[in-house]
Amino acid sequence: MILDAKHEMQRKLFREFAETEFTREIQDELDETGEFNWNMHRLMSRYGFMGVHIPREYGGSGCDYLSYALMVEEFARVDAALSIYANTSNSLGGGPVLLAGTEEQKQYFLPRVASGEKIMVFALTEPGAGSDASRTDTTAVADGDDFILNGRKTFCSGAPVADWAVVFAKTDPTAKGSRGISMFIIDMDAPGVSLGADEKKMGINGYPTSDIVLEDVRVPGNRLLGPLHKGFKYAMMTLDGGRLGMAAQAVGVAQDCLEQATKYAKERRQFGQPIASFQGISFMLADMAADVAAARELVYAAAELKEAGKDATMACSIAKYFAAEAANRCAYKAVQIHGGYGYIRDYKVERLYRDARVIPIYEGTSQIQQVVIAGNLLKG
Amino acid sequence: MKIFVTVKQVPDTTGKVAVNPDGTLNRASMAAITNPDDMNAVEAALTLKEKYGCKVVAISMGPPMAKTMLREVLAMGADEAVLISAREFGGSDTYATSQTIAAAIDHYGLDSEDIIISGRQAIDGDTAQVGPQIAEKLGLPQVSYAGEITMDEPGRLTVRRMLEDGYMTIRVQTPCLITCIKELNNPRYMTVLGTEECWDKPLTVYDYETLKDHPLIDPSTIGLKGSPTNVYKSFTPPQKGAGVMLAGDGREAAAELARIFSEKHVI
Repeated sequence: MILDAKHEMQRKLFREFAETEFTREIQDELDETGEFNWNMHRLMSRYGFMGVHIPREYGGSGCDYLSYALMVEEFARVDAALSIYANTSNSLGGGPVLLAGTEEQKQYFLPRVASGEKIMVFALTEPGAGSDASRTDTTAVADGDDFILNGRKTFCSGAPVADWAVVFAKTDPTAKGSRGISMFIIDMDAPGVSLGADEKKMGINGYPTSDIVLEDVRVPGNRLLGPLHKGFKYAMMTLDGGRLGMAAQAVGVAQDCLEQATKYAKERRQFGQPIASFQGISFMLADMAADVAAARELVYAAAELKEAGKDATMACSIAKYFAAEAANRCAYKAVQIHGGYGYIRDYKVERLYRDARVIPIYEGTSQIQQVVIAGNLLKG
Repeated sequence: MKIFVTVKQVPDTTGKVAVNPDGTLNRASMAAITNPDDMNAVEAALTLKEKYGCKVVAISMGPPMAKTMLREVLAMGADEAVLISAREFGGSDTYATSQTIAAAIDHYGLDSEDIIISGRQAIDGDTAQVGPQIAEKLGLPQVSYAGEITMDEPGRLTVRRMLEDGYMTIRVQTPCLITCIKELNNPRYMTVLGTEECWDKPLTVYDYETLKDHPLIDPSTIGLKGSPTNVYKSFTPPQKGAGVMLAGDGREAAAELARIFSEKHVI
């Protein structure tokens, strides 16, 4: 896709910002300590990245899906973890409020999330409800105007640094399957809310992940998000958009793999010549380039389709499925081209290999994307 | 109060510098960037804008492609942009360029509290002449090499010049021209909202027709014909060998230096 002048300018902004600010030092620190970098969060907030895809009337910049995808891609091209910093507010965090919130909720929550003043995360997964997200055990029982929530959410990206979480809980225990689930916005410092230990992850360190434990948490009725018992639909709609973001992240990681491997293959000499001159190496680079180009076009096309208001569920799933797998193929080859050095932490590809691995897992595994794609293909 | 900030689109000389057979720069084969010192000028203007709420007008002279750069300056926060662009202005040296930009600023309207901020110099020509020449042609006071700018009161600035051998603090009355150095500030990025809104901000093109009646504009003062400078020859200077760093404390290093000098019969 040839970008128009505006998107070209935005790509330039995202790239310049990432290349300048996401220093190798910061990347290594994130990877080694796993700690959230508040300075980076504030800097990103100042330039408006948290509200890229939040409408201007709610304090964001009102950019389209393509701009959002370009941001995540360009940020992930330098650091996958830092791409999530600016992704959540525009996707899993702000998304449900934008989709289902009342005007009052939108006016209250979105400007604070768009400015980076507050962090909102998404809590759907449970120990027993992963890909089968509808099997939620968390309950919300009405008590006067309030609801009392109990349960445990797991693998909540950003939970340790969040102010609010969008939590899914069963409000109608008699309803089967995905029915009877409602969405709530909980305060992370409300009585009864506690965090599990920070997960020790393989990659994307520096954006902490933990469980959220809910013990008799009283949630006011005005924190019910969307219609009662109908929250699951919004979870799926949010994940639709989330997939686009994660597909863009995969493209960024794959592009980085390609660039690192190309540079190394030209520099590294064996048998008296640069290893890039060997067909075995150059063909791997060619495969990577083809993967990156194809994944990128799928992501941009899905973004355009979504922007046009068309049904983009299948397109987003295809983009996420292909791009996530492509990023892992590229990461494998990038490490392979680096040989022994690719297995050593001094080289970036070692981290890329670990960072890439989560993309076909989170926000819908590759197998769930296949289910979505096949389901769309075979319906009717 | 307005601030004019002059910006130039230049080839990115941090990459490979390409030269045409006639010795001029092959601009087409190099990526175009905003001149780095001009980015400091933009930042200085925007900082003053944030404090005093004035209007910032970015002004450039160049081919139509310079609009891309001006839009970026608008996305950083400038309010308006003017591009001086016409065949007649092509091939200008610093004399003709400053003549034309001075005319454009005057045409736009320079008021008593206005400031013109320029970068110290452009990375393609490295002359550092255009800013000062604009001031001369508009009869304005100028302060070059600004490392700090403070406004004491509307119409009065204190500027700290940073020179090789020290500082010089100057108070200056507006309207005036300031050229700034990179130590002045850290230029900001565009903002996301800026990239959305810059397309609705005014970007006016001044062509020859717009400026031809201005007293500074005359066929003998603009473009290639109005340029007293001619490139006689340009060449890549031979590479110097790598320098040698002497380790150890001052005494040891000095002794080693003396030994090397003596070996080479310098002393």
